[in-house]
Amino acid sequence: MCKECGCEDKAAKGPQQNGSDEKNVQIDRKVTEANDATANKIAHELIHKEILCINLLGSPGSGKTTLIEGIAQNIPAKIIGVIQGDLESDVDKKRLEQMNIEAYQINTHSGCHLNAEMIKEALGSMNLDNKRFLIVENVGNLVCPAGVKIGQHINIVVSSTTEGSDKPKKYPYIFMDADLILISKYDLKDAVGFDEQSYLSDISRINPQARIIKCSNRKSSCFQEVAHFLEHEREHVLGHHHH
Amino acid sequence: MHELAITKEVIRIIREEAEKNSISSVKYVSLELGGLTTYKKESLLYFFNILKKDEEALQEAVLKIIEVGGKVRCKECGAVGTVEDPILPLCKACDSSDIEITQGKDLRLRDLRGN
Repeated sequence: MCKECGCEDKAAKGPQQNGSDEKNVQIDRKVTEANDATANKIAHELIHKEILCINLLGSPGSGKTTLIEGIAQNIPAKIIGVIQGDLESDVDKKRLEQMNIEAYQINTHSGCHLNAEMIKEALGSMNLDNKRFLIVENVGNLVCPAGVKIGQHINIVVSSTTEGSDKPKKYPYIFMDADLILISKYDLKDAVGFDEQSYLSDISRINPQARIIKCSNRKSSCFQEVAHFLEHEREHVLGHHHH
Repeated sequence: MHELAITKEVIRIIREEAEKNSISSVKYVSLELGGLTTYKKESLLYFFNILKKDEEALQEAVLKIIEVGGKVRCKECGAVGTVEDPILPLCKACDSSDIEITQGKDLRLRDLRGN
């Protein structure tokens, strides 16, 4: 029965109308719009402060924190700020503080990735004066952080030889947006049977533009290369904005 | 697992649109799911059906997920093609590897019906 007038005539209401006052609304909104807006705002504000924001991604144990330590050997620690994302603990924060790197720890508990709102909150508690680089070490995970904007200007994926050479093929989403892919534990590649040719061939099909740097933890030359890359990217991102 | 957070966003936008359009009981929502996102249809439906129980306006809501496949375009010759995962194919027309994704990376709320 029609709720408006009490009539029984349903056919007159059209094919998709069940009740007389049913509304059909076209929305067409991107579901990630709120996070993306916050992320864009963060990215913009950081450029204004002349800070390059790096989203550091990779599996647990791939060497993300080691990379930050390596960067801090080549770029003064006092111009680097770090946000650490882990489910629990402040182990990494303490590790970085030993090198005089200012670090803020986010514990996501069950959350599998960071989002822009978490970064916004963290930035509220951090002193970014005189900082030139903000490194956000995301939750160790090759799946969930992919494609989630946090206000970064560039993405770095740390991918260790010990994880196996099939990772780009199995987890392409995290690799497709990487500006830099760091192949870590490169000195162990023969011991673990890392098929470099197959790995690089997969990368070329997923993200041919990505810069690739091979890194052995005991050699600081690769960290120097990463530091140069970051300085170059910072100039590039800031330059783009000013012109 | 990461569909939980995104489904909360789906619900938030539905709530906002329902209020804006004076809809107190949502009957139907359509969601366009790009084939090159990391979200799974089954998980989105699973979380939606749990989360809607806490939403007065969504008690009768049915979520329809429309899957949209990935599309690519060759930057060299302009040929278009389809793709199932982000491991990009070489262009079928000119063999170029300079391929861009043109569709399939988004999750969008499309339509809402209710009274």
